[in-house]
Amino acid sequence: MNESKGSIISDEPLLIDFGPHSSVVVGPFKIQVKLDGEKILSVSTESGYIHRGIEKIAEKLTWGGFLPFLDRVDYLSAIHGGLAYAMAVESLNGLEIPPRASQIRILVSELNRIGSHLLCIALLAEKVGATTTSMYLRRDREKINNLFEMLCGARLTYSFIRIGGVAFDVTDGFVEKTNEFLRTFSQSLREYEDLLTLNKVFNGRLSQLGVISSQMALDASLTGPNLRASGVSFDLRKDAPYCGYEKYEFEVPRLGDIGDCYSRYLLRLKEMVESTKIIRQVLSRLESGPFRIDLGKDFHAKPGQAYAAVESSRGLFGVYVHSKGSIGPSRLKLRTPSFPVVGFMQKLLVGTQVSDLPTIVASLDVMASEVDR
Amino acid sequence: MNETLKVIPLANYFGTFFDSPIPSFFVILLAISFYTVLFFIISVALVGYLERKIAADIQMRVGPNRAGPIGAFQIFADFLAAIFKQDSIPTRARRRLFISAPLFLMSFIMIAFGAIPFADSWVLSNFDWSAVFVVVMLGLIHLMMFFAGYSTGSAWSILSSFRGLVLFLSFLCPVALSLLAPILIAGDGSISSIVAIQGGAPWKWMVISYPPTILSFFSMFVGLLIWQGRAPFNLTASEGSMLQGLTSEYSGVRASYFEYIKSAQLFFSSCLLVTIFLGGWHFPVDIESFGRAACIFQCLFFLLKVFVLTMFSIWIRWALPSVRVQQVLALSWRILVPLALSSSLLTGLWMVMTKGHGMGDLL
Repeated sequence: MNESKGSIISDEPLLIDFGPHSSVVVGPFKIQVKLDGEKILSVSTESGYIHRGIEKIAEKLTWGGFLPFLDRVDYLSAIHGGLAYAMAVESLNGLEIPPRASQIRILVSELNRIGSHLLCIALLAEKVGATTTSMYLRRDREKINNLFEMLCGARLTYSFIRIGGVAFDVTDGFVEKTNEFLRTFSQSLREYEDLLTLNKVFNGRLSQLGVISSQMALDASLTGPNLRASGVSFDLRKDAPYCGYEKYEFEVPRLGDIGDCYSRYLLRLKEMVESTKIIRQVLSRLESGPFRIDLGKDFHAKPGQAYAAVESSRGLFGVYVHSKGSIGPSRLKLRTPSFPVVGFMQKLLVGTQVSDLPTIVASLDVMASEVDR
Repeated sequence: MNETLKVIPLANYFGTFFDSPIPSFFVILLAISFYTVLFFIISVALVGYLERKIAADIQMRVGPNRAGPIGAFQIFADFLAAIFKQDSIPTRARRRLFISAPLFLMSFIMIAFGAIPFADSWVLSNFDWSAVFVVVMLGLIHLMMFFAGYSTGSAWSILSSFRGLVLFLSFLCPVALSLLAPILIAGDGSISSIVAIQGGAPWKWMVISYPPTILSFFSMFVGLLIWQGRAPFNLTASEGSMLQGLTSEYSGVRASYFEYIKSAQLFFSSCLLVTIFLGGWHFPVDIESFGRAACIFQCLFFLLKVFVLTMFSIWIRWALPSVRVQQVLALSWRILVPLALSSSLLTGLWMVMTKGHGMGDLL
């Protein structure tokens, strides 16, 4: 008993667990580090604390009945999971989506992207001690949650995307509120420039930290902001447009190939600006017409297999479905963007200081429920 | 006058209220309880309340608003709630040290307050080289913090305790060296004599009367921020990465002791800075005619300055992200220590050139 009493004079490296319940990663996830002083000697990650077998559950459910589960895969950008799934099922049956439905899909996708990026930056700011700025970012995310509540009654798990369209139509009141949000948000973005981007302490904490070269990022099959911050301009919205993204003017931000925590932060900030551009364009040219195809009560997908991928807030979100022509999928596989990051994280963290671990992990925007699903 | 009361001016002050001679231990007890209640319990609780209200205001929240008018009794309500909470001691903890560490901390910081004069004769202990005594107490409090974290036996707390030791290297030198210039001017290491050479009007304050000391003021201000372990120097308890740092394992009433100690550290830092650099208890106009009641006005003016400085510290805490260990060390040894040293050098030159007069005298 006595020798176990916190003996600190020892040659053994100190073992410290971040999690399963810690503020480092969103959701339960364990990072165990071996420390020599403050230096990280080795890292082991452990996931599976929130594994629900969502891919297996799909085999027991109907095509439409499985949609709410996709919200729980990545609940911070719930729209994108449902969208990829709906697109895969629609391509099985060769359904044509009404133009208004596609526009609403883009609208909510981008709103959700802003919300998710805001929370990512808020957590990052919290990790470096900028709690006040974190509060400001959460305030803006709250406004997006309110918009979604107005649209579909839910604030986090929307179940808004349906096979053949979306659940509810966009009203004039919603358009007005969204425009109002965009106005205040552009002011907020200037605030963040001052509070974070130009802040010397924030810059000093993040730059040259957790550097991922473009080759490393490609080897680890990273996608999304983590990949783009390393200088690889890969964005499905540009490279394989869906829902009619090609009709809207926006840019994929390029920041060179530094790939440190600061450029990952900056890229997310710039992506939010691009998202507001897309939302403005969508709102200005909303077409009239139906927002959903009526598929009837017993929807059967045609036999075959399909894969669809969207650019979610964290990267490439792919859904593969296999159908035997019954009322539900016979097999389903998800390709989630955080999964490769987890494997890569161990390599990235070794050799850094433990005080920087939360910052690096937060900048990678890992979502535990999406890793385990 | 009783001989033993000479070193306790506050007890002496209370003694003047009684016509007949009374036992000295009675007035000493009166003085100590006066100090404890007024300056330790009430003022520090007020600092804690201010902190929460200002933080809420900065973050666009409401803050405490239920207990008492505009939530003024929240700190006491929290303390009361903490008393009834379960008090758990980890099995790996070094039990005796774990229990005694917060109590030692409380008493150390109370003792340190004894050296601060809140008004003309309102000082608990007036002795030679009390400025050095204060620096020793600062170090002792910080060291006790290390033991508090070490005693818990938790890897998290031990890690942040050792970070605290790094901070020990960073704050003590700037703070101690910053005292050189005022001591040089006063010609004595007693805080009372440092206050005595200043005046109530702003141009008679140390930082304005002897301009080189403004470098010392800055160095000491930042050094004390490091000592408090507040953002941007909250390496031992950065909420994002270190949980609650070395106090994570403390629960119930012990956890609230630490909250209180944090506020006390902030209040003490502001008191020390105001005493040494910003005129101390001196009132701007002559109030000798009030007699014994003059002390009340002096004390109120002193507290006003202290709370303004405290608010400034609170703003800094809630506005800035926190820095790394290496950045703190670099700041301390590359900026603060040279600043404090050059301040004392320039002050020496000033003293030679003006024959010891301040701006207030020269004007």
